Amino acid sequence: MDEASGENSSTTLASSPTEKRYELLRRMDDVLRVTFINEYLNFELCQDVCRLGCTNSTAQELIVGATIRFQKEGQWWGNALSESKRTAPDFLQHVENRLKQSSALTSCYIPSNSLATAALRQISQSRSLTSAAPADASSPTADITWSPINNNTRRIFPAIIESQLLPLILYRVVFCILNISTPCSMMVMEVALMQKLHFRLCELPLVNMVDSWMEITRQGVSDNNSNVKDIKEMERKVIPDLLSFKAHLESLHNIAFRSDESLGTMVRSILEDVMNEATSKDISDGGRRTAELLAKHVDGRLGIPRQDLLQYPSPRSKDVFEAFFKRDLAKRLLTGRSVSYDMERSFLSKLKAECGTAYTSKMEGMFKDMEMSRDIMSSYAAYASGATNVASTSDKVVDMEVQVLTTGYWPVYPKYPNIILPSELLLQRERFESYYNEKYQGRRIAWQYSLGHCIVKASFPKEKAPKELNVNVCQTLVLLCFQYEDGPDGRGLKLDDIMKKTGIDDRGELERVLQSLSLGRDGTRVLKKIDAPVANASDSPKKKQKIRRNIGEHDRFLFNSSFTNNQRRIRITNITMKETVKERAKTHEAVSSDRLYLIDAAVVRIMKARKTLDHRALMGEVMTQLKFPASSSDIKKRIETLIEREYMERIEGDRSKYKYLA
Amino acid sequence: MPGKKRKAESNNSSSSSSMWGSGSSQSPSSSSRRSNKQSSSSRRGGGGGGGAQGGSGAYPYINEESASKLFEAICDEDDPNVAGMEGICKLCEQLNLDPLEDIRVLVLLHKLGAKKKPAEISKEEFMTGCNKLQLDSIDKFTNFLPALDTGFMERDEFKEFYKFCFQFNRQGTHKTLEKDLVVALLKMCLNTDRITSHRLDTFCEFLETTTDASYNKITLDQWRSFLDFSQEFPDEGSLMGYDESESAWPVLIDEYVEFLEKKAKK
Repeated sequence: MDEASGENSSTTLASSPTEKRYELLRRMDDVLRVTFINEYLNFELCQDVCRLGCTNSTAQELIVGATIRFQKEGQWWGNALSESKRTAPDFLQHVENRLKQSSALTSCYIPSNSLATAALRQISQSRSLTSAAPADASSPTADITWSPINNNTRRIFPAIIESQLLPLILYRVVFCILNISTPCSMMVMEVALMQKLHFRLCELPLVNMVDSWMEITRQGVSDNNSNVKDIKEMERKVIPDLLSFKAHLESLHNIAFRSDESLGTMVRSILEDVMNEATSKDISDGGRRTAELLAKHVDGRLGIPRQDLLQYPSPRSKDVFEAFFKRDLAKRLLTGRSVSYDMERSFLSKLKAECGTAYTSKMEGMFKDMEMSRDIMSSYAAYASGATNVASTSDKVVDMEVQVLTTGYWPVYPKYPNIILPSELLLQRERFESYYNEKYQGRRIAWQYSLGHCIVKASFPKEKAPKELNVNVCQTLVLLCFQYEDGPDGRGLKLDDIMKKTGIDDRGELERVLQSLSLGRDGTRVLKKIDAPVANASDSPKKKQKIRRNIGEHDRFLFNSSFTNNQRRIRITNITMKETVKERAKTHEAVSSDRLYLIDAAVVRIMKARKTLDHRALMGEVMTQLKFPASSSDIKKRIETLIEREYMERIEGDRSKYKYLA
Repeated sequence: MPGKKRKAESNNSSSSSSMWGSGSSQSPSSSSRRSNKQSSSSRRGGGGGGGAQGGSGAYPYINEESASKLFEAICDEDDPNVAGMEGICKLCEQLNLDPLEDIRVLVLLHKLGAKKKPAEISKEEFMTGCNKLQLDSIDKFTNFLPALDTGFMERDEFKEFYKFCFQFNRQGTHKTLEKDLVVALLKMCLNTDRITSHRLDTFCEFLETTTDASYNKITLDQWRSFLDFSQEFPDEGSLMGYDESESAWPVLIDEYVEFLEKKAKK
């Protein structure tokens, strides 16, 4: 290409060196001014100029000119973009053109290494100047010693373009790309362009750009989310938002930047920051909210088949995530709500890879328990069938399935130690206990009645076939109270009577059970509630017809003889406690108090190893050991209590050091 | 075993340690007979104030019986080996000291070596202290009073005394002091030119105004840190160098500095 154009334009050559030089400059300036290169100067001319001493001064003039030009151009594009006169793809196209031109230009005009060296020196100076004051670019400080770089001369103009044209507005471009809601079609082109630009981009002094990029993206996401006040809405919206943002950013990174590693860390850190700050304006929150929301989201997702969960980002408050996730995982496993076992396992192995074995050991224990239980049940079935011959005195044999859970792996559930089981269940329980004790010696079984479920067969006068009621243990016990009669006098049972009969001594729980059985939706009201006459007569007669929701001391319960339901099997879910408020607060509280111990443990561990340690070093090490964000004053407070408890002390005379006390 | 011993000494806040006096280097007092003879003489000259010139190894004799009688006059009714606050008040009366306001009471107790338990002095401590300070009568005690000014104390000795003030005013096995008591105590022991009055006033003000319930009780570490802090940062100009994010000072001090900054802005 060089040669072809060289033949065309060998006509207007000046003779004197000065003129030659001037001519060269003028031509190059022209070339830079017009959009496309339609004329190439003679290759010889360049060589002449170089031979004649086209060294620093020429190069400087050339480069200063180019610098200013591209600066102006960058500003123009910046305005155009912000006024929406031009789009980001336009800009990228333009930059691409400019780069093409410049490489042609350099290969044609600046062939010598000496010139390149000088030029590079110049560029290195102007680069550092542009950020501070662009006008200063024209005052060269040529005295600075610069070790000659044997760089490709082709780099000169691209470098100017990158340093002058790109950074000024690049963040806007990136922002535009990030803001495009339908990534597919638009992305392709941009991505293609970005791809070509990328290697040069990486070599730019990127720090400023990265900062502005991060700032923009963070603003983008948190602006969207700060409006979301309602918790429920937040749960629905935030995490999907974050996930789509993550997918967007990652596809940008993968395609446009070819998964470049240095940018990869940047992308990850941006994601992490956005993740952990997006949900809360309050920095001290430390991503707790996000962690909680994420755990809930994952819980929801695991109930839906074919969801790719492996792409989930990891929250900074890993302990909060763990607490919520574990709780939900337990629920899923015990109720069999989880759709795919494999999916659960693969998600767990992802957690394991990210957070370490210790982090997931309890959750893995839960899985192991489930598997073990299956084995135990199959071997128990064999045992039980052998034993029935002996124990078949009772004709009312019920099937029982047991899940053996290891204490410590699972959340703590309420126990009802005084519960009074019916003889059928009691028999089964004893049989299982004797089997289990035979098989595993030295283990103690504590029955978790609150997790149990039963299928109760019930006959109703208005239904021909008996119904199967799917209820939990407490509900079963309450139902059994009405097995034969509605209380000794046939007028129903009161709360206290039921409490005595069933042994459920948690009043709140019993109230909920009764509510679920008598006040649920139609078709589940197997009991009838009869309100005690209200002493307070001020109630309007209208309200009288409605049955009160709450359960009073003197309200009576009767078997609902007019019960009808088309289904054969009816599931009556017990009313759960207000999960969102109480349980949530409890989980957070547990995490908070755990954090204190974790900080203590980390400090003691470190101090034990180091004996004496500088305050700053200690803080640093503690921070790296903790799996959640802790403020320095949090840690300091723990250090103070450790001093108070004589685990360590300040070194007399050097206040910034601590000494470990055995 | 020697290692164990050292730990007990460095364990400043331990109230149960039986080795309290055995080697606490800054203090002239000592309850352990063994170490007395070997090493305590060199420390005594500087700190002891009046009446202690004679010591060069062994103490000159005092009238043990008379000193013992002094103790008997103030000891608890149910335990003749201990004198509690009531007895100490009796002694103060005899010496014409106000036990609630006069810092010299605390200085005297400190010099006598009432270290084992807060708010009391044991007979052993009293006798050793009398021996060391050459006191065996009320007259001698009275003559000794002028030497009890905290102004005589060197920096390190004062630091010990300052710590003692905290320890002695604790209640039983409690490890902390009530905020109100701390304020009163600070005003009592620091109102010399030990620290600037501005530092003292603002700190007390900070303690009184803070709503943080965790500061209703003040720990020994916080107590000691305040003196160190006041000496390291005597005035507002020096506070420019205070970097909260890097400091090893207790959070209480951080918050005090914040309080000062807010105050300055107003």
